[in-house]
Amino acid sequence: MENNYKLKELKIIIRPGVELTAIVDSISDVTKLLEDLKKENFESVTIKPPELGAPPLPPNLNLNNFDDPHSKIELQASLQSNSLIEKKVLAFKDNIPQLLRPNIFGNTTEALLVLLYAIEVGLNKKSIEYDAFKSLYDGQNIKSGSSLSMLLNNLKNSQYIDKNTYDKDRTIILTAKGAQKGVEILNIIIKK
Amino acid sequence: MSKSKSNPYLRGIIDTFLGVKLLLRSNIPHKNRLAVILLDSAFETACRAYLTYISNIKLSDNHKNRDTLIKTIKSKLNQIDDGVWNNIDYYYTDIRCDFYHQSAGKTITDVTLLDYQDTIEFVINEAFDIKIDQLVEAEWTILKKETSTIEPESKNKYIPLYRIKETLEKIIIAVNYLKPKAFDEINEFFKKEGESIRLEKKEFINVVARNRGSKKYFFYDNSLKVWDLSSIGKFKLSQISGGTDNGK
Repeated sequence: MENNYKLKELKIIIRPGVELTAIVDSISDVTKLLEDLKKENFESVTIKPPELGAPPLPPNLNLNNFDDPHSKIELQASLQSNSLIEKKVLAFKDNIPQLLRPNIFGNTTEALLVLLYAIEVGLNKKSIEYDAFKSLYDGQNIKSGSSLSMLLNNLKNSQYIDKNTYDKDRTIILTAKGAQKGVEILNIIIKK
Repeated sequence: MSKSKSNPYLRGIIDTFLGVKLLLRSNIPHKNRLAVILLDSAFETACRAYLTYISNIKLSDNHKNRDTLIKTIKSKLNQIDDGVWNNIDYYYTDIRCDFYHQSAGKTITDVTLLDYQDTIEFVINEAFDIKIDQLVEAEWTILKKETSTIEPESKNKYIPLYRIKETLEKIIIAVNYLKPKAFDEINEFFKKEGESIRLEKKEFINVVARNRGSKKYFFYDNSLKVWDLSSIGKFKLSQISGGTDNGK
């Protein structure tokens, strides 16, 4: 049976807010772990029913390719698989995000948000220093009438990036609102 | 990139930015306050240079007035948003003038100063079609080689080469550190770092030639005759050095 799949990690919620991640190689590892937990009085296992109205997985989702930054973004943003490349929106080369057509965005702020979303979700980086982001931004050939710092301050004032970390040392972190906006922008552009 | 040598009026602007860089690395308590005054001077000098040498406008006594000067340059650089001019005006009226004429005790935060500098650089880049930060950085590297009095930059993380596997990444680190004129400087750097690989001239040319241009890692600075990292190259370097790490 195990020839058909590969086990890697097992996540168990012991109690609300406490999650255990175990590295397992086989079903017997899982059985042993559950037995050990039982011995330690972690007995009540409740299976959470799927939430009603949970969004369906995007169509044509390539489940074999989760490590690919494009797939990560497409999954998180509920976009069709390969749509970022097919629609020439965003590509990654050597882990460097590149906006393929910067002029398709409504304004520079939208392009910035997508770039930040690509870093957070595609590259799994929670934060980026201003200088590193400026280097990336300068390489995108985005035409803007404002300086990057002013654009970022606008994002900060709109609560799309974290105010505290930016004001402290110009570390850029997308807020939940910013990430959601990034998803919205991507969906609008892909559906255009 | 050859503009800094062919256009001497840029020299003074670059030197002012070098002055700001030196000042910010000093221990002078009110260095940010002094930097605002210097940056405003760089901006105003750049405005005059642009109008005189790029727009070919003969400046009159009227242009000694700041408002007239800004109004003139604003009409010429209409691709720049009004917000940028308003921002610079705010720093001039509410901060710079106060610092210069009245409040010796006041200063501004590091982040506010860097944002102001970024805005000034943006206008200069648009006006002269240059990347002023790269020109300043190149001059700064030369200045560092010529004088030992400059403190090392704590921001430039030391990246031990033995931790890096890819030759391309090792070359990126070396080029950023050295700004080399020729490949043998990179071999010297590798030797000093205890790195076993050595590059043939052909190999070096192959690597940089494959990775040069606006969307690649390297560019050749014709003005200074040195190799340097492009914007994407700098981003790649930040990835190598972990500048975009999680949970920072």
